[in-house]
Amino acid sequence: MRDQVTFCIKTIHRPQCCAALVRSIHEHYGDDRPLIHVLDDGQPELRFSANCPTEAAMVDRLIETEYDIGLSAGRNRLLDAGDTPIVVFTDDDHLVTDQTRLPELVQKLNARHDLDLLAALSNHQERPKLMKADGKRLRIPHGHYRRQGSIRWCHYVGNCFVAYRDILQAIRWDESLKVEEHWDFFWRCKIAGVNVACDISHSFKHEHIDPPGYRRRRPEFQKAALRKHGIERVIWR
Amino acid sequence: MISMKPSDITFCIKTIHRPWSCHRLVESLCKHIAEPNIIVVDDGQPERRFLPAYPETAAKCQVIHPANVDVGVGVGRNIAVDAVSTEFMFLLDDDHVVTPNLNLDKLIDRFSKLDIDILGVRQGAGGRPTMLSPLMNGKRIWMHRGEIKRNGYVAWCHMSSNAFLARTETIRKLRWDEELKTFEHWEFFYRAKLAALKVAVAGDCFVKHAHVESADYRVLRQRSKFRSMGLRKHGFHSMRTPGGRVVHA
Repeated sequence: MRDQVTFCIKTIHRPQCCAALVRSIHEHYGDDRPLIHVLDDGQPELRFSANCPTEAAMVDRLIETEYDIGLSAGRNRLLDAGDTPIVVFTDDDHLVTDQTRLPELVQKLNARHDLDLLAALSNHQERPKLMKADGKRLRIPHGHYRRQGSIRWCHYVGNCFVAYRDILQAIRWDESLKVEEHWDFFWRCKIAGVNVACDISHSFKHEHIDPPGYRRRRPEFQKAALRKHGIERVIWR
Repeated sequence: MISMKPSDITFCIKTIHRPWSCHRLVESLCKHIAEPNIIVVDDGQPERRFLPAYPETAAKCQVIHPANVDVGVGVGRNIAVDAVSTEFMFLLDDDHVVTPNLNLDKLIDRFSKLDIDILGVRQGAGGRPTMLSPLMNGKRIWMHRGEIKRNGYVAWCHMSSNAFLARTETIRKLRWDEELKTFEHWEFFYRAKLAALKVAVAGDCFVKHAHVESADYRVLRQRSKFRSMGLRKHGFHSMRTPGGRVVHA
């Protein structure tokens, strides 16, 4: 997979998680593993390289940036740092397991002209969702608009997916949004006509750990994301 | 800050074999804008031209007849732009209609205050902010809805509609490719992107797009060879359209 696929990991203040993910990639795919690129925007003492030097030596590229550039900027830099046609993105607290079957997921993406981004499940969650503008509200209910085998074409998926690098470079993550970037990204994918799907027969393991000082709710970014699209509320059903 | 009045703008229209449509556009301009400067370039056959069909309307414009018939949209628009004597110009297609929704005062205000080289308006339901993104190592160009950034109703992007306000000098430098008789739109904006021009769309300013189709107009427009020519010129083997279709050069 090395000449075709780069596994991109943006990490901050969860060095043990990042190390476990890197080990899981090596354990499952050995010499046929994808390239691994890690971007770390943590404080020096909490960095992946400082805390897990063994695993840091197991990646092909480690980018250490200024503190807290955010997930969007980190992912955009990872997109621009490599040149394989396909990338894998997960969160740094995901793990590759026997259920991930990454080569098969990549092969499914490659086999069809009507797929640009193909997600896997996170545990048994992050199932496919649709996105619909309903006046000033954005609705994101469970559902898909087409299915074939285990693939569900939809508008919104979780954070574990394989995708074409050039398609993601065209859409990019909005760096002004440090959180609330996820629905903004997939809404712009829908508007642009990106073919998004989820294969429900593949999954990554997820054991969520909040990094020190992490704030999940950031109303200022939520307001910015809503204002940007002229909507007042996101309704998750 | 730029100081611009409606009288500093020339409206440029290239038309062929749609005299009624051109008449409707000119009349709509005159109805909603006080004494507009208008240039019409008509490369139709003499008996099917705008001027003889609507002499009273044509008298409100500077009408130019190129030496040859069907010189194409690139040559025609360049002739119009070269004839402009005002600092700013506003491009229109001959099947556009101006209504109060153009909101020219808002356009002028934004063009004056914001960092914009080409400010497009919406064209009915169309003319939304569009991006031109290279795919497949620069072998495919993807034309898709999207924007770079936004300030209220103004969205910066790579491509707007064919109804836009710009400095005359900017467009005189950029020009339209004269070999492309049609399918010229994306190519013009792709060169604008390469030239690092700032393109934006004002989402609350509109022209009406009242498309008029005649059999021979359809023949004139559907020229896949011009599509191929535009794509190959920039090294693309194909284009992914907003609907997801891939067309090859």
